[in-house]
Amino acid sequence: MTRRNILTNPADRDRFLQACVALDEAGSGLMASDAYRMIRGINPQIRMEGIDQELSYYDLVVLWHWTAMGLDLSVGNAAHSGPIFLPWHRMYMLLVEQWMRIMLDDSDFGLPYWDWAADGELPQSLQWRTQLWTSEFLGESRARVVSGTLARMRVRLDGINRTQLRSIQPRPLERNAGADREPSFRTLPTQGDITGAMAEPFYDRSPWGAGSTDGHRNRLEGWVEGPRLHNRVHVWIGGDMGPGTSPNDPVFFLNHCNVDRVWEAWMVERGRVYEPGPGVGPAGHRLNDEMFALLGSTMTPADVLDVSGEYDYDTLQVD
Amino acid sequence: MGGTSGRKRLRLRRLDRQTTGLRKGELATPPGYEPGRGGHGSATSIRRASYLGRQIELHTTYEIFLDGEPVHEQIMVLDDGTVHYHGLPNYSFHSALELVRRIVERSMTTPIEDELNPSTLRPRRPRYQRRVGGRARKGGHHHDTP
Repeated sequence: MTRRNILTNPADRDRFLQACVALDEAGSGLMASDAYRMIRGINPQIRMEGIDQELSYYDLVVLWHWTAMGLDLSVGNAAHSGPIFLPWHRMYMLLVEQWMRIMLDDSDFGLPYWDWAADGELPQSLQWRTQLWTSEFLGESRARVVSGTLARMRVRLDGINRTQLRSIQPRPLERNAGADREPSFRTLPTQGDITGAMAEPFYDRSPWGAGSTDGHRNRLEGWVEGPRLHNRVHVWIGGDMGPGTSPNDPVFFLNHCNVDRVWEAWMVERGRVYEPGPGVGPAGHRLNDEMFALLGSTMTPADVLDVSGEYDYDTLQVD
Repeated sequence: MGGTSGRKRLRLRRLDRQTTGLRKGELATPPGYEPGRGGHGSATSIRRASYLGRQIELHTTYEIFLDGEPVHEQIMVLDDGTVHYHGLPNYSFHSALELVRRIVERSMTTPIEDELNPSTLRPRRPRYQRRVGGRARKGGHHHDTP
């Protein structure tokens, strides 16, 4: 199975959009109050408030990401701001991709990616008005999404911060692409940013977290002179891509699929090396540590270093 | 409508709880889990570095007050000097003041009927449980909060 560029593969685009809507329109049988009890069992600091409504399968994917973000490890959290960032999101997307294959009854389906650095080379005034933000693709870039397939998506879970989650009256997706009041956040990452991440000779190093000034992971996550790369895409889109419930917007998966592609390209060049190895570095981020799984089966970073049996990319030419 | 409208519809199957691996009450926390480290508690950010054989350690503490009330959220100072707050993932700012402005904006939510916490529930009143797809059904079982 091959993951391809969404802009040049309309069949993959349509299947992806339809799968997102299908997951969002399928009731999981789990009520918000059930979810509250479940996640508070592992993190007593969590407070969830709002409507007791049935959650969709898509909402469960959102809930998984938000919950992981609230689990503090010795460095970063269970999915971000540390070495675990890239393998955790690879595990996460493997499950989402599997669900989408089931919904589509298509074992060949692969998540598409958005090569955002290509759009980052466009003039700033055009970046938020590309084909991606039309009704044929993702819908509006600077408003509520009311056109195209994703107009059918509904946001039910809204992360206020890392411990406070709201179950809200279902509403359409919201975006504010390229319009943050901080001028330096109004452009997408560039090819030069990718080149910088690819040039890093090692995966990660002490102090391991968001504060590291080098390393492929921290540069690609976007903390070095950030927000850049992955982080900048979240910040640039804004709206529902801002909080810990950012998977609410399917563009989340297009972003992370591209991040995963860059990591794969880096490993092809540098070797399938992950740091920290067993017994060293921060617990929860080590090579053989089990990663947090709200759904499906847990995996370790070692399990996902080589995914050639699961998928490949149409191209690893990233910079 | 754009997207898939007007095209051949794909056949959709349904997920079920077994397929999804959805568990209730069996969640395991990851190794290294340190409840509360990144939120309430110490608000001191520590940066360490080695330079010319010397060990540098910088402790930065922000004391934040909103309307005179202390805010117990930790602001992290990254090595490049920007500031970050876990509640706003992906963001880092050159100005701590701008970061707090964003925290204030994010916390300004519209009032919502809170059906998930018992102190705000009206006892013995039938509730409408909303189902995915917009349909509502009356009644249903009551869930105690965790």
